[in-house]
Amino acid sequence: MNIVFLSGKGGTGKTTVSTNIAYLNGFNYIDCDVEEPNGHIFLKPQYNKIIQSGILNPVIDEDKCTLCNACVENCQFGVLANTGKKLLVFNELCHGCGTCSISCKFDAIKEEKRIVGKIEVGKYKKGNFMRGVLNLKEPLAVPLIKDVKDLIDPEEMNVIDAPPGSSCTVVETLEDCDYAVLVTEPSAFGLSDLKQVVTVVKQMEIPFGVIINRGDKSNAIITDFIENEGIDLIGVIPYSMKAAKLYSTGELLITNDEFNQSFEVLSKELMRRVVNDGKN
Amino acid sequence: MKLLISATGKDKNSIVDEKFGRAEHYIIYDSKTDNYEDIVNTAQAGAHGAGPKAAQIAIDQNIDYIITGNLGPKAMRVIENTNIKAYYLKEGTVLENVQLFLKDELDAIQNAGPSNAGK
Repeated sequence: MNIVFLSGKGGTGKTTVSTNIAYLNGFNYIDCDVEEPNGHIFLKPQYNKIIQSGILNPVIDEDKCTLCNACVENCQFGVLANTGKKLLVFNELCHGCGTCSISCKFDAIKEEKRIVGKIEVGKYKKGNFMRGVLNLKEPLAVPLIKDVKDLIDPEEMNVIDAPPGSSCTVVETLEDCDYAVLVTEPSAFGLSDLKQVVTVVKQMEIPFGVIINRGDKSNAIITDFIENEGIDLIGVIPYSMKAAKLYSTGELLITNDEFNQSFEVLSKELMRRVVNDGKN
Repeated sequence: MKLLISATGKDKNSIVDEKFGRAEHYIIYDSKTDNYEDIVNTAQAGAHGAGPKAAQIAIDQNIDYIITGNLGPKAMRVIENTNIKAYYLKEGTVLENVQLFLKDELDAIQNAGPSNAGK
C-alpha cells in the first residue's frame, strides 16, 4: 500500500511529516523528490545498492541518414534540428518517447540509454529506504521517478515523499497510489498551491486528506477552504520553535516526547483513513 | 537574399522582438521582391526547445540572415552548422532594422547569449 505525501507549495513539511510517520509505524520510506531528496537526513539510512537510471536518446547514423526531415517534423520537443548538412541532437530536451526512430525509414536512428540519475536502495532503522537522485543540470525528473516507483513493492506499507508543485513529477509520483496526504501551511501561498494539488488528486481519483503544518491563529485560511470543499482534515501540527530547532539539526520530531505523542495521534487518524478510504 | 527578423507584430512597421525562440512573429524580408511576409512563430509553444525549433524555421524558410536580440546556446549550435549569419537588432521597427542591415550598420552575433532569455 502506497501513501503519498505532497503539498503543492515547497517547504510546508512533506518530509517532516512523512519521515516521522514512516519511522513511527516502521513503514518503508521512498524519496521521489529526486531533484532535492532530503529524507535521508532524518532517517539516516545505510545503502546497499545503487542503480543507475537513464533515458533513451537518439543516436544518428550519419552514413544512413538522408536528412529527409521526418524525425525533425515528428519530434514534439525540438530535440532534432536539420541544418541541411547535418542532423543535430539536443539530448537534454529529449523525453525518450522513441518517435524519431519509429519515423525513420532509413534505420538511421538508434536509441541509447543516457544516465540521468541514480537510485539508492538500503535500510533505515525501521524499514526499507529508497531514494532517487537526479544528476545536476538534468531537466527531466519523470523517467527517474518512474524507475524508482517500479522498485516499490505495493504489498508492503510504503510512505512516498513527493516533489513539490503539481506538475508531471507529482502526477508520476501519485500514479497507482492508494492514499494521498496533502501537507499545507496556513498562508496564502499554502492555500493557493493546496488548491492546485487538490485538483490533481481529485482528477486522479486518489482518496486524500489534509494535514496543516505550523498551525497557528491563521489556520482558518485553510480550514475555511477545506470545509467548503468537504475535504477531510487529518490533523494540525502546531507551530513550534522547538520543532524548528530539532528539524534544523536533522532530528526526527518524534525523538521529543511531546511531539511523539502528537504524532501518535496524527498517525492513528491517518491510518484510520488509509484503511477506510484507501484504494486497496 | 532573405532576412528573418524577430518581431512583436505582423508587418514591417512593428517593433522588433529581442527574443529569438520565443518571439511572437518572424517577419521575412526578401530583397529580390522587396516584400515583407509574416510568419507566426510556432516554436514558442513548448515548454523547452523553442530556440532550436525557431532555428529550424529559419532553415526551412531558406533564410540567409537572422536579425534578433539574442541567440541562446542551442539555437546558436544549429545556426553555426548552416550558412545562415545572425546579427544583433537595434531598437526600432522591422523596416528600420532592414535598412540598417542593408547599410551594414548591424553587428554580427559571434557568441551565444544566455539560455532561456526569452522566458
